[in-house]
Amino acid sequence: MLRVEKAFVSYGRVTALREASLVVNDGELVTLIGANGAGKSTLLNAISGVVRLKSGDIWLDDRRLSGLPSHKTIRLGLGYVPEGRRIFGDMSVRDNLTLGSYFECARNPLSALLYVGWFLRRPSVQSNLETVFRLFPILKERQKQKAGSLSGGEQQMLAIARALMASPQILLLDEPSLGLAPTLVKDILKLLVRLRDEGLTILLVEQDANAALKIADRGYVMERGMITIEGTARELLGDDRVRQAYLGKTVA
Amino acid sequence: MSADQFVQYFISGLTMGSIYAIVGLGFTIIYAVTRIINFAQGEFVMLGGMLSFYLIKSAGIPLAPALILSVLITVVIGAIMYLLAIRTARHASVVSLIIITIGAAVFFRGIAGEIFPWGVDIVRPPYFTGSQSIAFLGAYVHPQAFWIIGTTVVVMILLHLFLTYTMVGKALKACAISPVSASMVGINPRTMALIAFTLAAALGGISGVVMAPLTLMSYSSGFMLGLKGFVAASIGGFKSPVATVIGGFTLGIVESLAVGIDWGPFTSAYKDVIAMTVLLLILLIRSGRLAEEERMS
Ligand SMILES: Nc1ncnc2c1ncn2[C@@H]1O[C@H](COP(=O)(O)OP(=O)(O)OP(=O)(O)O)[C@@H](O)[C@H]1O
Ligand SMILES: [Mg+2]
Repeated sequence: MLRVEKAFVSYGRVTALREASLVVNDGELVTLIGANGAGKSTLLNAISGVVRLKSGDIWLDDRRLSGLPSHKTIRLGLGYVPEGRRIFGDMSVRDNLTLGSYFECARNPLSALLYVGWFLRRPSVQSNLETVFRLFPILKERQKQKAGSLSGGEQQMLAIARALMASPQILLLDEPSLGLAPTLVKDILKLLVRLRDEGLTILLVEQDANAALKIADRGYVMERGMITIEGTARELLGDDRVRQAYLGKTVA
Repeated sequence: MSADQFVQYFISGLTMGSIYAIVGLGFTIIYAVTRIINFAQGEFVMLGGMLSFYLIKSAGIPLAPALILSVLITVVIGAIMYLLAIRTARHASVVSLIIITIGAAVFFRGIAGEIFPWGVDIVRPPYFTGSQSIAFLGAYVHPQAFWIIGTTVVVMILLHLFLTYTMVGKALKACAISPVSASMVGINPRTMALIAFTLAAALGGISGVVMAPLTLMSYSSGFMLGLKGFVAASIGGFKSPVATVIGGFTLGIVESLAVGIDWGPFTSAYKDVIAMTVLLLILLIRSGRLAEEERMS
């Protein structure tokens, strides 16, 4: 279970999060929606340790994430698909995936000196690689290609696959649909449902509130750095404020 | 210049060029991973050479272990430099960190001029395998020159294999692309920075140890060697190891041939000026290109 308690973040004089709190229970798919600049990416960055909290707390089960730098939170079971994907464009698809399992090297520094081929043959790494190739057959085909030469959709799949290579306990995704064609967006959302059904816990930040709420179990609405509305996805889909502001519907 | 003379100068250019290349690689690795230009890179070379002389002559340690120990000590110095001077200044800008490396260079040179029993004198550690020149394509080549070229080429190959085929190598590359992205897959950018400094110190130490018997070494040799490596690295834009190596060899050969050609009264006085001229040309071309790119975007 992921718990964010009164997270407060500011960039210099700009306050991005004002005591935002949320909970993601095991096995849930929770979505976080909000307008541009509401602070959604900041919240994910705070959870993963890319930005520091000014105050507040973040827990993954009994492990405290707040205060840890991002390379440590990732090693504690967080999978992060950040805004803009941040894949290593100059490296091959396969190398990107391999680096997704880098946390194994942190546990066992000597394995970092291994020939990559041997590293990939470790049972845990190999089974993860097989899993992501099953989920994304296109990546298996393209594994020798430079990641930067993939299409936008393929790059997004790679970013998700790379995060899955760390066998995360919870997956954070920041607008995975950004810039993708509608059919691809559907594919990605379907994939998230499938991952949730297989037991993965997911926190999804999404611009398309309608699509996100249709697949999510619960949702949070963020405005100016605060969580203003929360509820089950069904409740939010029927909430007048949500319908007006995020679903583009006028209230009768 | 006769053909034999040409070969002679060419080989001596290759010898020095291989040193410039490997010093340049030290600059490139640190720059790629941390965006810091490490002006103490040349001092690592000086320390390697000076330590080898000290361990062999003053401490009486046999040649091979003394050489290995000199490199190891240089590596430890490089790691300590990172941990004490760079890592502790965690919120400093890259420019301040670069200035810190200049400070470290001055510090190393000052210490080296003080602690060794021979003070500021120039020293020559023993040749690895004598000084009987070997006839080669009409030229006479000092055996130490073969040691220099051979060692540096082997080191470059090992470095390439390390960076291309190990997990740390991939992690270093990821960090070179973006430290933030790297941290998002569990790579600690600071560990990578430490590894980069350690590798660079090893490259410096190794080159110092193999070159010192032939080129001699003093406490102040680091500056010029660092400068030459800097020129090699800037030919590669501090990014491409291959271009850095080509740059280093080119600089060595151009320098050597220029010294060999009879320039009348100016002969051979211009060796170091060539490196500076090359550097100025590169900077001019690059800044022109940067301006171009800025206009485009
Ligand atoms: N590095 C930064 N420095 C200064 N201000 C920042 C920084 N990153 C974000 N902000 C500010 O913090 C606020 C929240 O930004 P954030 O990126 O978290 O919003 P968001 O909800 O993800 O928006 P979007 O939907 O556009 O991605 C904004 O006002 C933004 O301008
Ligand atoms: Mg955002």
